Amino acid sequence: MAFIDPTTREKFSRFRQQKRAWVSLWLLTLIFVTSLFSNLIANDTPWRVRFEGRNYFPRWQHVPQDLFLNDGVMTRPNFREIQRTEAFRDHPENRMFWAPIPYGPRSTVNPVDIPVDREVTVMRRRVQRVGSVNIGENFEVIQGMSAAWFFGAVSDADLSGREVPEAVRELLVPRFANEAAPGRTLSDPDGRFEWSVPAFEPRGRAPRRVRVTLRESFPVTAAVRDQFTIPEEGDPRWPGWWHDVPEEVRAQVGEVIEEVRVVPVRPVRYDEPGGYAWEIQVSFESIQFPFRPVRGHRMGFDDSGRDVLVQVLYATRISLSFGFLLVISSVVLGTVLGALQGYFGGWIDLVGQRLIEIYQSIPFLYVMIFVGSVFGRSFVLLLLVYAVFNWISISYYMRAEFLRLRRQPFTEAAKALGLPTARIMWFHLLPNALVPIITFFPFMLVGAIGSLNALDFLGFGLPAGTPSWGALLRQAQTARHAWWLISYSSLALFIVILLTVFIGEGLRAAFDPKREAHWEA
Amino acid sequence: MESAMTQEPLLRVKNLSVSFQTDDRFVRAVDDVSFDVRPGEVLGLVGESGSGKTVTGMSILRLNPSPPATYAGGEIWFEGQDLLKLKPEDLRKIRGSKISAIFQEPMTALSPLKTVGDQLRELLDIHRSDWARKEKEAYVLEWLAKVGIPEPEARRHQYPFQFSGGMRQRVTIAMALMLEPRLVIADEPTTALDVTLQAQVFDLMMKMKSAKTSLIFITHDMGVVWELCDRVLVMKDAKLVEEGEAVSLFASPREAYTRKLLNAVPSLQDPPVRDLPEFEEAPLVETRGLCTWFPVKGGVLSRTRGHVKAVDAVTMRIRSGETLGVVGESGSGKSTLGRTLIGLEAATGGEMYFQGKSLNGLRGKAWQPVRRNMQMIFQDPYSSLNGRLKILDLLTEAPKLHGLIDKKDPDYAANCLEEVGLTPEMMYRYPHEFSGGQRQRICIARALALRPKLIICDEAVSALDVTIQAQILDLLVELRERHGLAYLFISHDLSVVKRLCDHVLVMRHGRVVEEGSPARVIDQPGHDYTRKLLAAVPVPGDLSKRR
Repeated sequence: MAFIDPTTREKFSRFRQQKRAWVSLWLLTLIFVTSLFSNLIANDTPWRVRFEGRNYFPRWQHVPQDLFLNDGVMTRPNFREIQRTEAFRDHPENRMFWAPIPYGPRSTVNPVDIPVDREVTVMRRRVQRVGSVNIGENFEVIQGMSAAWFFGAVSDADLSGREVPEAVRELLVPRFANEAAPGRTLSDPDGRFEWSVPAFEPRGRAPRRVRVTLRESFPVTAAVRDQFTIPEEGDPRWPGWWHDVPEEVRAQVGEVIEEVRVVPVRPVRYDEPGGYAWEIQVSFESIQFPFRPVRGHRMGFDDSGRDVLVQVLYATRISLSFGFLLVISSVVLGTVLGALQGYFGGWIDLVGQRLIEIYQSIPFLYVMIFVGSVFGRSFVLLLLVYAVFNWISISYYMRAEFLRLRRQPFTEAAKALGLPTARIMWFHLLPNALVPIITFFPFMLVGAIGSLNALDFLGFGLPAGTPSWGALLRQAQTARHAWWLISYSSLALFIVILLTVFIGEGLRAAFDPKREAHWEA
Repeated sequence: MESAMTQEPLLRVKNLSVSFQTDDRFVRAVDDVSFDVRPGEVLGLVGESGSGKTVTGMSILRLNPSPPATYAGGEIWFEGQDLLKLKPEDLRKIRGSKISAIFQEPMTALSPLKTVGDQLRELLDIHRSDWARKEKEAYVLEWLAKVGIPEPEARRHQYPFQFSGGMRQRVTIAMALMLEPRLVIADEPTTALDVTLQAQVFDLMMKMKSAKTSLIFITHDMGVVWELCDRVLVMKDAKLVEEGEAVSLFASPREAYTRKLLNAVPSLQDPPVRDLPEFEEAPLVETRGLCTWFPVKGGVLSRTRGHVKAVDAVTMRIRSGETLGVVGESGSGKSTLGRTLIGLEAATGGEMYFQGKSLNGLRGKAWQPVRRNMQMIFQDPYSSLNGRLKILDLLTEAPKLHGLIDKKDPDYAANCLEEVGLTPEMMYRYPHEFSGGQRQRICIARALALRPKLIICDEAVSALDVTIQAQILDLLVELRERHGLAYLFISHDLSVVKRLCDHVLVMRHGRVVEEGSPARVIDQPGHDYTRKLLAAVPVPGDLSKRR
C-alpha cells in the first residue's frame, strides 16, 4: 500500500470521474473475466455425465471410451458421438450435462448437427428456345435440331422438306454461289422468333448446305421466376402456376424432390403446349464450410467447421491474456533495465544504450520465424520473443525518469540519510517514476493485441488451429462471401481496442501533470 | 517626489478581485484590492508566499493563467482604458510596449532556442514595425551595451544558456525597458540571484528606468523594498493591509503584520545569538587541503580538458557543538563543500576526517556509519521530501535501517515531530499537505531522527519567507542548545550567518578568502570580496542604502 499516496489516489479519483473511461474499464474487465471463463461457457466435453447410475466428471477426471462402449479403447471419447450411440441412449437415465455452448475452440461441428432448414425450394423460370436447321441448295430443310417449335411441327423428324421464307432464301443465295456475305439476322414475320445466318467467306468448293440458327424472341420482361418451398414436414402451399404444369411434368418434379435430399439433381424442362418453354429447378442447401450463421451458431462457421462464436470467445481470451502478459513482462524488464541505466548513469548507461541500439537493429519478424521453425510455434515462445524485443521503449522512459529523479533533492536526502541504493530505487524513485508507465499501459496493450493478431493474420503467430481474430481475418480474405468471418472477428478486435483506447485517454487526462499545477503566489 | 504625488495616477486599480477555481477547491487570491501607481514612482508590493501579490501584479497585464484564474471583479484603469475589459488584440499592443514585466526566473523567461539578439529584436518587430532592420539591430546593440553586456556585438548572437544568471537577468531587463514603457512590473526579479548580483541588477534598473517610468516591485524582501521603493503596499491573505511612504512605514508601521514582517528581517546589526562558548579541542570534522574538482570534457573522445575547481584546497574544522558558517556568491563552491563532506560528491584531493576517521575513498556502505552522525538539510523543502511516503515513514525509515529502532515506531516519530514544534498526529499525513515552513521542519526532524552530531544546512532557510525563515532559525538555535549539535551553515545571507555562527568562512571560486569570528569578518572585513558582499546587503532603516 506504500504506493497509494494521496496524490495517486486523487489521480485515480479523477480517472473515475471520467465516465467514458470508467465505463470502458468496467466493460473491458467484464469482457476479459468472461473470456477467462471460456472453458465453462464453451466446451466440447460435458461437465457431468450420468451413465448407468453413476456420475462422471470428464473435465476433471479421465473417462475412457471403453466405459461406454466396452471396446477396450482407453482414450478420451468424442462425447457427442457417444451420446448418439445405442448403448448410451438405451437408458433414459443416462444424461450428459453440457456447457451453454457445447463446442470447444478446436471441435469441428458435424454438418449433420447443423440445424439448417430442411426445406426444398422449387423454382420455375421461363427459358429461351434455341434451335437450328440445315438448309440444302433447294432451300428446303435437310435436318432440324430442337427446331420443331419454330415450324409448328411436333418433332425434328417432321422438318425435312419444309421450305424457308423468301427473305431467308435471299440471304442464302450468295452462300450457295460461294460468294462472300455478312452475317444477318432476320425477324420472323410474326415476330415470334428470328433467323440468323452466320457470315460467309468463299471456300474451295461451294457449300451444299447452310446452317441457320433460330432464336425465340425473349424480351427482358420474359425472365419470369416463380418459386415456392416444400417444408420437411407437412404440405407446401401450392402456387397457382403449379396447376398449369402438365401432369407428367409434375410427376417428374415430384421424383426429383425426393432425390434432391441425397444427390444434386438436374432441372426439369418442359414446353407449354402452344406457349413458352419452362425449366423447373429443385434445390436443397448443402453444407460447405465456411458456413453461414444458423440457429444455435449465431456467428456461423469457419473454414474447418468450427463455431465462430467459440473462436471469437477464445481468441478474446488469448489476445487479452497475451496482451497483459506481454505488457507486464516488458514493463518489468524495461523498468529494471531502464532504472539501472538511469540511476547509475556513466558507463553503465553508455554501454547499456549502445547495446540496446545494436539489439534493436535485429529484425523481430525474422527472429520470430526462425525461432518458431526451430522450437515450434507456441504461445509461450511468441510471448518470450515479443517480450525480449518489446521492453526497449519502456526502458527509455524509465531511464529518463530515473535520470531526472536521481538529481532530485529528495533522492539526495535519502542518500544522505544513509539508505541503501536498492531501497532508494524501490521506495523513493520507482513510485515517482510510474506515471508514464501507467499512462502508457493501455496503449501498449493495444499495440500488443494488434501485433499478435497481425502476426496471426500473416500466419507467423500462434500455431495453426489456435483461435485468433487474425486467423479468422485471414480465412475471410480467401472466402470473400463469408461476411460472418470478417465482421465478427473485426468487431471483437474493434471493441476491445476501442475500450482500451478510451481507458488510455482517461488515464492520460487524469495523470496529466498540467492539471496538477496549483497556484502559488 | 513631491510633484509625483500631485499628478494624476498612471494606473488605478479599483476593487480588484481574482479567484482561482480548480477541481477541488476555490481560492480567492486577490480580495478587493485598490491602489494607485503614480508616474515615475517605485511601488513596492510586499507579502509572504500566498498573499496574492504576484497575482495582483500579473492581473495588470492579465497574465494569470485563465482558467483557473477568473477576474471576479474590479477595474484597472490605464490611460483611460479598463485593462480588464480590453480585447486581447488591444491588450497585446499595451503589453511589452506600454506596460512590461520582469520575471523571477531569468532562464525560463527567455526562449532557449533563439539568440538573445533575435529575442530583443522580435519586440521591435512587433511594436516598432515601421523601423528599418538596420535601425532595429542598432537599437538592440545599444541596449545590450546599456545593460552592461560585455562585447554586445558578439554576445547578441549567443543563446541564453551561454549567459550566466546575472547576464540573463540583464537581458530580461533590457527587454522590459527597451521600449521605454510607462510601467514595469518586476516580480521578484532578484530572488534567484545572490546578493552581489542583486545589487548590480538594482543599480541597473534604477539607472535605466527613465524618470517617467513607474515600477511595481513585487518582493517578500523588506531589505529590497527599503532600498528601492518610494511607496509600499503590504498584502496579507489576498487583502491589502497597509499602504504608505517607505520611510514612514519603516519608521512607524501601523499594522501588527507589517511590524512582524519588519522584525523578521535579519540585520547585520543584530548581535550573535550566543557568545563564543568553550569547545573541546578535538575537531568533529576536519579537512586539509580538500579539493572537489569537476572535469570539463571536450572533443570527440570527451577527454578531460580542464577542471572546474568547485572546492579548492579548503582547510577547515568544526568542533563538537560549533556552528561554522560558509558564505559566498553562487558558484563559490560553498554547497559543494557540504556535499563533499557527506559524500554526495567525491573528493578529488586533500584529506577529510570525521570524528577522527578518514572519509577519503569511502564507497557505498562504508558511508553508512558516517551518515548516521552527519545529516543534511536542503534548500528546497518542496522537493526534498518524497511526496509518496507518509511523514511517519519518512521519519522512521532511516533510524530503522541504522538500527536505532527495530520497527516503524510511531512514538519515535512523534518525538521527532515534537522536537521541531510539530504535533504528533501529523505523522499520518503526506508532505504535500504541509506549508513550506512545516516541510522544512519535517526535513529537520528527519535529520534529527538519526541523532546526528553534525547537520549540514545547505541554504536551509533561503527559500523561505522572512517570517518563516526567522522561525526556522530560532528552531535551529534551540536544537543546537538542546542537543549540542554542530552545524555547517551554508548561506549567502551574511546577516543570518552573523546571528547564528561561531566561525565564518568566506569562499570565492572554491577557495577560502577570509575566515574568523562573524563579528570580526562582518565589522572589519579583511578582504575586498567580503567588503563587496557586505556592501550588497540591503539594510532596512539605513538611509545611506536608499537609492
